[in-house]
Amino acid sequence: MTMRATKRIIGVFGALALVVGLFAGAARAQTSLAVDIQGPGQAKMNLVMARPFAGGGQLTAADKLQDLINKDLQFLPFLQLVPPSSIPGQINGPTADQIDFKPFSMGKIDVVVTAQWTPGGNLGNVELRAFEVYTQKVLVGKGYDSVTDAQLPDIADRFCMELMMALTGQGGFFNSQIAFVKPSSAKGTDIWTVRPTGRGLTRVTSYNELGMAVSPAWSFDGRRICFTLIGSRSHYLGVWSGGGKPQVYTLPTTSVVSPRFLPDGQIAVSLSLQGKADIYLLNSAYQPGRTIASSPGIDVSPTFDASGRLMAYVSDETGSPNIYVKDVSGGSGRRVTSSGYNTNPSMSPDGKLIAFTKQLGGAQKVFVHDLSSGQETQVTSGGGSDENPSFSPDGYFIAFSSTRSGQKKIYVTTRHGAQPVMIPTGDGAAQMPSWGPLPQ
Amino acid sequence: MMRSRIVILSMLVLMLSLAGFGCAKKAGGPGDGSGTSWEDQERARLEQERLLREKMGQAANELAQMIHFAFDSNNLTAESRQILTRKAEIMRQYPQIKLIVEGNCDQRGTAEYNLALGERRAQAAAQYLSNLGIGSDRLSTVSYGKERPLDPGHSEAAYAKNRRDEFRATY
Repeated sequence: MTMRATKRIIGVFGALALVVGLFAGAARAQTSLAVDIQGPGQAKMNLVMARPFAGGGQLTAADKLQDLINKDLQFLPFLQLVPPSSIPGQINGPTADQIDFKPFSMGKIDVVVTAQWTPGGNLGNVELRAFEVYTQKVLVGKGYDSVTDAQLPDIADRFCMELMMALTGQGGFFNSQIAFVKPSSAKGTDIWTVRPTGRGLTRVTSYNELGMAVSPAWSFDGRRICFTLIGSRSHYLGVWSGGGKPQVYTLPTTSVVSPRFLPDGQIAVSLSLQGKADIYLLNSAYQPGRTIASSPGIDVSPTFDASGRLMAYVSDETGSPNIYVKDVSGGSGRRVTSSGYNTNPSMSPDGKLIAFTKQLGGAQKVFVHDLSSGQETQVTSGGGSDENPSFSPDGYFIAFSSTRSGQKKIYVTTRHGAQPVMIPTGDGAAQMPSWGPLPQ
Repeated sequence: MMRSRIVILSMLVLMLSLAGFGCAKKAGGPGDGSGTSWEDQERARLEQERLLREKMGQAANELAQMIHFAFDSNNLTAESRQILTRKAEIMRQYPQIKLIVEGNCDQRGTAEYNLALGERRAQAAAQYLSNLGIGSDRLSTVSYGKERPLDPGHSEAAYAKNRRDEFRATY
């Protein structure tokens, strides 16, 4: 569906500084294009990316950048990439006066992207533009001088981030990171981080065969990761603070499950202090303080909204595991899933939605529960088992692990259930994603 | 290499001396006063266990016999109780040894809930041994949830094999 929304985005974008060079594109005027990614539907815009304009010397770099932008745009399910050959419109140059917009308008194309390379230092200089077909105005204009090969991924990401900002008011996807777990030996697992585009793949822990680091969770400021470290005789709490080796804390129980940060930096974790798993807040010395969820059964997997007042968690107090919500300050939990095996909750930052997994047959599938309407929507389907959904900081995307292509890998869908796209995480299996912002 | 050996040896001496005073202080984190990393402490623990099991010979193998559970259950079967009773006898013969019970689950559930469920299974066996008169200071539990399947398959037989408690003699 092509969308020409009447809602107008007032110029909230364009505050991002450029790393290299600067292109003062035409002042980004108000646009009539907007996708409400938080809304109920899943509107799509059609986008054509023109062949880059480049001299012979820059052709390889131009193609490479084009390919990187293409891959980035495939993560944005509200954009439908249309090959330029399917529209008879003429693009004679990179600027508005060189484009015959009419055929694009007839062909229901919403956005046209051009790239122009000119000779300069290193690979050359590049200018990227995105035009709104309807108004023929520049949505995004970026320029970079003396571009190097290593800068190309960053240039693609920044351009796509600004384009997403211009179209949705949010560009956090490109400004975020995912922590996840990879096997490091037959007996050990370690924590890694990666940006959702697959860039910046970094190993965070190196326990190798000595321990299993599992359940990583970002702090709300993107500076720390807490996790469970399973050793030979106990679980421990691991806390990584952005560099070097993580701190390992011993707790007064051998069962330390599902640690999570609250927005204020405190950690909540499920501990078996009374012979059953209850959820506790840890004090500043990383020792158990107040109990925040307790039942005769197992209570695990807390998740919090950005205010830190609302939590969702798993409890099996009625027999099988189900999702509950409650105020962190007190009161009893309210059950939000009705029957079956429901685990792995992730609360959207605005506290309106809970993504979780439901066991269907022998496999898990991701669902989204709307707390105000009580409506449950299945957002993943197909083969394999889908586990550990994690909302992106903007509350639009959902990362999860899946065995849909055999080995466990991490994929991205949206709250609306867009076609999942795999996040590149290198060789081997990848699981237990936790989505956080880049450090603020 | 030499340095890590020295660290392991000094950790062994430290732990043995602590054990001598009957102190069960758990090592593993900052603030435990040892000044060594978690990794060095873990290596020392594993090495000390290996030496102990070598010394115990066949009895260590018998102590290691697993027990299995029905789906979504931590109830001990008659066969499991028999196996645990034999473990209690061995532990009486070797009053210096302790036992770690490792709880494991099949692949169908999700990781964190299974980590808690595995703990329940480990506690079921530990409780039974405790009821047979083995001091609770000689028993400890750790859950691996579904992270260490014996059989990575997705058949009913594989699931049944993975729903288990494993046992490890320790110092």
